Amino acid sequence: MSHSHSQGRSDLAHARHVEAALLDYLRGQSARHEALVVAAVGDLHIRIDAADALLERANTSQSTAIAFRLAAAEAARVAGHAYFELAGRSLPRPLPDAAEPALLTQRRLLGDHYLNGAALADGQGGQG
Amino acid sequence: MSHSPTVDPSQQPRPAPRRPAHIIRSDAEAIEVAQRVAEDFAQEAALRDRERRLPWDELERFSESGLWAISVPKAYGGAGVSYVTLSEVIAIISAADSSLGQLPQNHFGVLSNLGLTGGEEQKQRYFAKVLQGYRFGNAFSEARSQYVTTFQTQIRFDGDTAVLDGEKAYCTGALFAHIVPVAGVDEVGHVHIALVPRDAAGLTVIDSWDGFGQRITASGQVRIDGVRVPAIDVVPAWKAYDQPTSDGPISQIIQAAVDTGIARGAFAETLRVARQARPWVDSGLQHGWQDPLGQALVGELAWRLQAAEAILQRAAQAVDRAVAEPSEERVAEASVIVGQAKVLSTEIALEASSRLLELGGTRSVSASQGLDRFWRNARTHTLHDPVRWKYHLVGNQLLNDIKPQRHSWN
Repeated sequence: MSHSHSQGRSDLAHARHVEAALLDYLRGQSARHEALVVAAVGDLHIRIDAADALLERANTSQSTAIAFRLAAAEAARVAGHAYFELAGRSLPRPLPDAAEPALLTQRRLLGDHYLNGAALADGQGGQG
Repeated sequence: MSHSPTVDPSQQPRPAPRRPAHIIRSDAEAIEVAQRVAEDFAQEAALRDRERRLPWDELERFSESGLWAISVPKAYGGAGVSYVTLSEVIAIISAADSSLGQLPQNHFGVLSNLGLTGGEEQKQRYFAKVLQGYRFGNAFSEARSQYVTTFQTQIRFDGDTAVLDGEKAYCTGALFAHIVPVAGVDEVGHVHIALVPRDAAGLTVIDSWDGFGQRITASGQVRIDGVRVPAIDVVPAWKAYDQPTSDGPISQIIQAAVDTGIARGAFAETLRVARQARPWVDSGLQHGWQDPLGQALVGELAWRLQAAEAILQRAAQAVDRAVAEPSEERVAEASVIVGQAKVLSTEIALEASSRLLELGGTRSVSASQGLDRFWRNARTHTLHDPVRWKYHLVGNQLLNDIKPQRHSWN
């Protein structure tokens, strides 16, 4: 498994951890039925499920691996934002296990692949 | 010399297909036929949109291809394809021309409702018609009711006849249909669907749709003035929501498939125009396609489109499970995942259709190319129901264990 793939799993796990903490917190609050709160929880869950759905495909090609990596990063980012907005605090994101290309670089590499047919080298997105 | 106006006979409403349709036998054949038909529809999609040229001939080829009958159950002679296949077929067609992708939307919804609530004789008769190439339109929504789920159109049973009166709006497919399903409420508030022949007395389809997107869907009005149909042609549609069924998720997943198709079409055009774009003067590059900032935007669209497609497939699998086992849990699960598909497909359809023009540059807004149609179509079709309440639907199930309400919009 590549570093990127591993880091994607780590981000997805973190997003799930934050979501669970958020649900625990909100279930003790009367705000749990407020439309904006409910919709924010839905938004986060959609990001997590999108990353999870891409994880199922992540081993099929380098481009699907990068797609999963970027989706997992978004899930982690949205989780952090939702927790800060709704619980007023932040939960620390675990440090990366190992170096990987920056997310914006992975985004560009994926775009270069689609736009110009550029090959995606092993480890840029990473197959498991 | 005076000339009397001539009317192209191919553009006249017909109560029956002009030729028998091909019968598709499998999921694989459905995908193959959809790809072939989509190639055909892509040829003049921009022209049809620009001229608002109603797709009479295209719809004939579409339904004659057999694609409008692919959800007819195997027990009634159809392919009974999975909803994974059906949603992919809709996405394939919508990528080529999203108006044509939307036109069978309610047709498939009616087939679902017929299968769930129709009597055996009704199912045999109408599934056979669909296999022959009959197209259902719709006269469901009303512009003046408080909620989308409430109707003022009345249906009154008079012996073995049903009589309907009312006015409908957003009647996608009605103009081109052979049969116009009309939703009306009876004296106790139950919603029925009357299957009204297109040429029935008292049924008037008005081509009043002037939306800036989905321009050739002719989603105009229908007036129903004392329309009489045999009671045997009325389906007790309300029963599909009196208990858990897959009817709502089926209706909704087709919406998400249309929007996913729009996103695919917009993304494909984005790649084409971005390859041709000039490099920005400050970039120091020789070619626009070398632009790292542009490449990153393309990468962003690419993964978001992949995510929408992956969730659409999951949603379709959930719909298939709800069809097989229509328990409260299964149906709620399908509604929630279809809601996710609706969110992601809406987001990427709007994003891709906007970035298409950004990455193409000023030359891409030339009206002769018609590339604005992707955004106009995405913006229009995604208004079918407010996506902001899909985030809420998903969150309410997770946070409060509240299942989605059962209706055609969930």
